Amino acid sequence: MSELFAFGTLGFRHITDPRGADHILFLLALAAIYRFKDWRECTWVVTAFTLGHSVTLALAVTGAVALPSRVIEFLIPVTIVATALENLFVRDRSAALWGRRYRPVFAGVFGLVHGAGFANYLRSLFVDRIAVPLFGFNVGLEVGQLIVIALAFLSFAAIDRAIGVVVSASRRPDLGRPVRIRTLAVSVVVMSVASRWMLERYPW
Amino acid sequence: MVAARRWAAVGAILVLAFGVRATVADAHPLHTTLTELTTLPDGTPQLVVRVFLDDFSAAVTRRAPTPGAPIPMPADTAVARYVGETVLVSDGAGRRAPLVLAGMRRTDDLVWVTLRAPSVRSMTGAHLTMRVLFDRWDDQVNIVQSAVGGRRQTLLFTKHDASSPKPI
Repeated sequence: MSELFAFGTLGFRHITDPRGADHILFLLALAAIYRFKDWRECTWVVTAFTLGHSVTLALAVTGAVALPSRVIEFLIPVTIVATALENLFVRDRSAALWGRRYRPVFAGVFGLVHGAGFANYLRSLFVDRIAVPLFGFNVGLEVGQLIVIALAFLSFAAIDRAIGVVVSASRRPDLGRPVRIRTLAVSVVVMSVASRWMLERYPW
Repeated sequence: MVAARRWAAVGAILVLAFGVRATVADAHPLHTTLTELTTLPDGTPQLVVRVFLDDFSAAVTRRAPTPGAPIPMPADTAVARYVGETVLVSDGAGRRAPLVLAGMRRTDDLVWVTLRAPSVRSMTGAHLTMRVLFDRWDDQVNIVQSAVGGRRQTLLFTKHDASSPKPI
């Protein structure tokens, strides 16, 4: 097995590990507002997240910056809660600052925080030749993230269909569009779990 | 009225979900060790295993670390026994080669354990099994970077394939 593939596998396993749900919940919060037809926009947002965490991962692993792990572990659920709140309260993104383009920017900024979280565990192990392992790890993370997003889209489509059936049967159009109801439900559940982590990891 | 009911529903879901214990409340660590496998000038294989002290000490002593308490280095005899059970090298004839603990040092929260298999003189047909910390974490991944006979390769050992030795 090549070094690149080995570390890619490590990154992939890390991001898709259901026991470590923090990154998966963040991806769900990011994707919660999208439909299949928005896949390009969603891919840009996820890629911006990858770029963000690649930067801090590289900086921390090379020793350029030292990050307090307790603060980082607290900030990771903060990013999840902030994303879920944005889903809940911003309804017309085309009217928001920078139109819809602000989401990749904040995904990139929040990616900086998540990258610091990865770095706290990799820093000690990658003490010498780091370029290939680091690149491979990031590629693995990106592939894993895209698969998580693809599965989320499939689930969202099924949820939207079920909500649509319920709304039609109730003859209550005022209940709202299925995608909005799903966005609210996913965001609320994600936010509630992340809020709990936030309180439990409070460092001060 | 509709908006009020909608927000009441959101609030109810929030309270309900918040009340349910999150299944994973801890940080999301990477349970990984990194090992370099080389040969000494006389052909003896040498493994240098990097492992986090807290996990390694807990595995070797079979005791969970006390939160906040300083973690001492485990005793050489206990380490030799543990790696003897979890790191297996076999020669080209399939015979298991005894490992010798050649050194141990600490840098910050990391332990570097040096092991040698002096009975192995040729790496042709040799195999390695690396089960360090599989007794502690289900998601443990042990990475071995080998540079033997001018050939570099990386091996991944997971609990899933714990019983299968890999050719080195």
